[in-house]
Amino acid sequence: MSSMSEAGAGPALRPTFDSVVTEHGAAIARIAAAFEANAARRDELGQEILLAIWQSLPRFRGEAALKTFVLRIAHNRAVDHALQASRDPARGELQPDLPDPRSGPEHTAGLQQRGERLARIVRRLPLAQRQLVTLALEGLSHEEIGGMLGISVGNVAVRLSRARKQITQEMGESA
Amino acid sequence: MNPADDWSNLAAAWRAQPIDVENLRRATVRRARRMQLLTVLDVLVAVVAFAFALRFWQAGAEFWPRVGVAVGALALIAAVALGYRLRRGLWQAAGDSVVDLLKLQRARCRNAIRMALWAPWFLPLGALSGLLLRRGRSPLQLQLATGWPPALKIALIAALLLALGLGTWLYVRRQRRRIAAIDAHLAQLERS
Repeated sequence: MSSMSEAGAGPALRPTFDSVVTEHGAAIARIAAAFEANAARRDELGQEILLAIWQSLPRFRGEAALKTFVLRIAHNRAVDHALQASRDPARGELQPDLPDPRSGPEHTAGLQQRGERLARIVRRLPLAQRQLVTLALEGLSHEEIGGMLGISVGNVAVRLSRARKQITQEMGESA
Repeated sequence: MNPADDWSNLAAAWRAQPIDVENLRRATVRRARRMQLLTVLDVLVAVVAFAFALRFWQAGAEFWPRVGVAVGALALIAAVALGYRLRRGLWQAAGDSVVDLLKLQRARCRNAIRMALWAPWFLPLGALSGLLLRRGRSPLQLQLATGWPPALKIALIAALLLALGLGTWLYVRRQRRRIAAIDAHLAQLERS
């Protein structure tokens, strides 16, 4: 097993583990937040995703964008986590959202607060809808999302439109 | 709010969530090192066990204990080979989509059930190996159990078997539930 710093050894264009964390660590953490309400398990999921990416980096050939590659793995791992959690109600969505201990006073205002509220709403969406929404929020195109989930672009558009309406409504109601 | 701007506004809020990337990186590195250490320990234990068996074999032990070692080693090799054969084709998904991944996970769950149901068949082999080692004056013989009354030994073995059976049943049930959850999610994806 290679070390974390050696993950990028090999082809010149292959990204290193550190560069993946720097560029996409936040996106990974946000995806974990969309699929796990509990802060401790959310951290664990984030670590699992990063480990899976680290193990998959040698397979990265640069055929797709690194972001797509990373989000695909993150997403697959998060869905797997959600499916496991769905078997155990004590671990699942019924658990109340606890405040993140890292959130200081500066984190509780404005856009950040709105982001946390959005994450809570996304976590309540059905799994299939949640998949679409997290990828859209991370900036993937309809084509990329369709390719990742194995559904048509038209289908992605229709379902995203429906989800957007629901989220906007909930954001407005809870504001 | 203009509906056309909804995603950009939502995406801006989404990205504003407080994230400690450095903490995530450190925790992942710690976890990876722990995994590497466990793998090394695993290999070390296997090497030590093999060396111990080899030394026992060469030390001129009696016939039946030698047969016991051979049976144990064969059972170990068979278990490893079986595990490898059952896992073949399950290392990675056929495609990159979530559907492919879910199908792979379903196949892994089915495989996990097969492996769990195979495991009890190795118990008689292990027991045979243990019995043969006890014949003669084997240095591998468990000294701890020699003074125990037979009823206690039987009760202990029965409790162990019961725990194993219960564990296997719970594990298989968990995997079957997981398969059901994956099937439901796949059906949901196909419907939409």
